[in-house]
Amino acid sequence: MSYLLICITAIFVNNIVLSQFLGICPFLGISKKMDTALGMSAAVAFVMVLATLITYLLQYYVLDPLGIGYLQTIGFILVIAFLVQVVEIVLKKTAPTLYRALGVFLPLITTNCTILGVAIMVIQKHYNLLESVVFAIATAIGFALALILFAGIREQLELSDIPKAMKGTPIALIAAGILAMAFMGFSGIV
Amino acid sequence: MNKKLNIITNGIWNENPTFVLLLGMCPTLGTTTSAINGMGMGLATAFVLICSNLVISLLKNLIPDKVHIPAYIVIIASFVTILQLCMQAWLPELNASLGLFIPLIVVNCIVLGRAETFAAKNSPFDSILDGLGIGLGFTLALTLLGAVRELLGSGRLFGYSVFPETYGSLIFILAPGAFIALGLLIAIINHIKSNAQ
Amino acid sequence: MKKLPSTILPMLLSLTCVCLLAGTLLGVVHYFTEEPIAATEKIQQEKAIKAVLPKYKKLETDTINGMPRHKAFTKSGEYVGVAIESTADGFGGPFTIIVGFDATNEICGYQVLKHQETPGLGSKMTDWFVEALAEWTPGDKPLSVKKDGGSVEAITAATISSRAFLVAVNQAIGICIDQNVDQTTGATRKMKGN
Repeated sequence: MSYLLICITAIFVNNIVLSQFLGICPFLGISKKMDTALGMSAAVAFVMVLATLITYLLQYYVLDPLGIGYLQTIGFILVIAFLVQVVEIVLKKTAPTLYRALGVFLPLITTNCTILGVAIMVIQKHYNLLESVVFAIATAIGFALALILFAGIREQLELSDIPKAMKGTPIALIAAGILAMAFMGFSGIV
Repeated sequence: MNKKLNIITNGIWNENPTFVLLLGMCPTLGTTTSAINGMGMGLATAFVLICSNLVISLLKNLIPDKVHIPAYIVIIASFVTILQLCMQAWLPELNASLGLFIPLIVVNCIVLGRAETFAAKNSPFDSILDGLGIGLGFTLALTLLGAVRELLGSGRLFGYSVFPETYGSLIFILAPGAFIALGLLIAIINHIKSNAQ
Repeated sequence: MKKLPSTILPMLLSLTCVCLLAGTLLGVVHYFTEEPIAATEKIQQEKAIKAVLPKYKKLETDTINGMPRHKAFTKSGEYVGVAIESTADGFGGPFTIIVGFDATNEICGYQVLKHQETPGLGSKMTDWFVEALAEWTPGDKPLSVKKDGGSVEAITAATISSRAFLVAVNQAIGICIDQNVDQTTGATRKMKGN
């Protein structure tokens, strides 16, 4: 039950993009086309789950026993940067098709704040290992959901007649606002 | 002299990180529930930006090209942690209201972006000025957005009541209002710019 | 000076140096901020206790089930009440409140120590529940929101925060009451000693 609750909360109620404001840069930057949105979502999901797992172990088996919790930020970001590199190299060698699909997005992920954000959040919320992984998966699904929905909306926006000053980012932000309003409706379900 | 001044004003208006470059959107939207929070976030980012710009500019020749990203990230993360520790010690209220967004300055594209495009190519003094300009531009943008949201949402400005709270529309303090208020602000600035041309 | 080349040795050296420097610097800053951070936390805690139990001069602190409990006495040693720190999961993550009980175990106030609830909604918990808690007496049923059949009006549009808040309050009540039962080794809620 509590795992189900974590999932629903992370995907709908506390959607990482539309209510927590993390990962806005890729949300606005890579949502112009549906296929790039899909690729980015997959890459984020992949790295997010791995990163959460490793940073969780780093926090509880290295930082806490040594009493150097203040190195959390620096340690986590190094793990994420390192992980992104490793994933890139491994994918290139073992799964070239997957690499071609995700490759261009991987370098962008280091500075994607959803990854670091989720890694820190699971520590702040005192989740256990399984809860952390479930939370990471659910958050990645929430990110993908927001990105893909928004890509669909933006493909339509491109075709609309919009006042000159509103073209591009302003109208995209306002559309995102309305989407966020729709997601607020989900807060009734828990 | 004029050239130095240009570096600063460039960051505030021509290359304003929020309204023109559209970088660092997460803290921009996430922390601007009030003018004070927006300002605090802006100043915190400005501090990290100035320090990391300076250090990266000093060390730029000692860091080989292939490892520059991890090295820059370590430098930025150190300053963020210093900021975090100092805020916990002396500004606990602000630290609590900015919460997760303080450690997330590390992945703010503005900071790494300026390190790459400016500090890695310019002198230490110019890099400080660039950090100051971009930092101020970011602070101003966040304060403005925070003020608009606070005023429309709760009828207050910097904590002082302007009109009764019941006339405010709460939606501007919540998530959707952040997107909409920023969208409208950027539209207004686009309009001013195209009129000026 | 020329830029160092991207060969293995300079790369390793420069990365190691940067990391070592960063680590040392952070160690130093941590050393100097450790005390102020602890002091700031203590001041905030004392401020909160002062707000719920204004008469206290001395505190005796222990921990029950992971929740800090501060028993408060006047200068002459007279028992004035107890303040209990209680943490629950709200809408935006865990938050901590401090609930004050007077010498008869009635709630005499609460303070929110730290929270990350939505500004304008859940954040209203800082003063929303004052009346509801003042009406509660030790013999009453656990507090719950009207939606769950209780008597407390939830914060409009912030039911999750309201529920979590009451969970924290009920935890505090549990600690306060249980403790007194133990002390008197019976079922009464009379305060003993002091």
